[in-house]
Amino acid sequence: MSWAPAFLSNPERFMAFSRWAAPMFGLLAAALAGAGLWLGFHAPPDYQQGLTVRIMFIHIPSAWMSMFVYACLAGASFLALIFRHVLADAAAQAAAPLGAGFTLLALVTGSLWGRPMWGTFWVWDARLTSVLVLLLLYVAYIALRAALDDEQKAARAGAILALVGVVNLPIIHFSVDWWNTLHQGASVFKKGGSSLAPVYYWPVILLTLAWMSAFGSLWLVRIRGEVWRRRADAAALRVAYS
Amino acid sequence: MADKYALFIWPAYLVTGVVFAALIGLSLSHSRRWKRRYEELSGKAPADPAKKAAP
Repeated sequence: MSWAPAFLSNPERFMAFSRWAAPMFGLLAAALAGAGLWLGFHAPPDYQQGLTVRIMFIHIPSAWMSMFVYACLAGASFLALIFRHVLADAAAQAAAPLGAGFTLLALVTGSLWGRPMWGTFWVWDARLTSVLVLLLLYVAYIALRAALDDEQKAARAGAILALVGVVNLPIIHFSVDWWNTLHQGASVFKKGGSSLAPVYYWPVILLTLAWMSAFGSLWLVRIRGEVWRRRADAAALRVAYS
Repeated sequence: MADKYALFIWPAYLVTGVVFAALIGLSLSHSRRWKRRYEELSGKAPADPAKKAAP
């Protein structure tokens, strides 16, 4: 893994890589989403959920991505805090709005599934509450970065907040085992293999890969934007002092 | 999809489309805005002393 910090320490190499990688990931995301949606809309109604099973095809990938993006944000924050990589800090900052978007999607689509299946849009159940806390962590991270003018202080404070928030990830994952929740337990990644029938399993997997590719593409685009912003700030200073 | 659950299924897909459109639009506009700003400023600014001159 020694290539990763070396790659992150070189913005020129990153900009050259991301210039072609971002549209490639975008095209891959569109193709995977097309295949996943086609399979999902041809899946038969579930014997218990009826056609609301189609909400699961977008809810499960969004919920997984909300946690995956937070892990990326925390990993980048760790590298930024310990190794002071400028690109790692840009990567952390760029991941937060995307993670907030996926978490919002997980909550809204879950709520729209919950109303016909549970009879309510919301319950203060351990899984739902811990995912709401995840959304608040993303919002707090974005607000904290925006509130501090000093870029280095903002980066350090944001990184500490992101690393403290990592404790919420196992809480989300194990909430359905540790507490008695209305939310069902794991059905895809569990001992003995997935309990989903293949007609439901493949749309979930394809749309998860699509969401992941879309995140890869948008993350690279946003990191590029952060690099341009920091270069513009440096150029503005040179103009001011010339 | 004439189903009794259509009232919940279509809004879920609509919200997903709106959130993705917002993420794509905001990400692209953020990147383009700052690239344009950098290009404007780098035309006015003296050369970056941190960058080595090309051989």
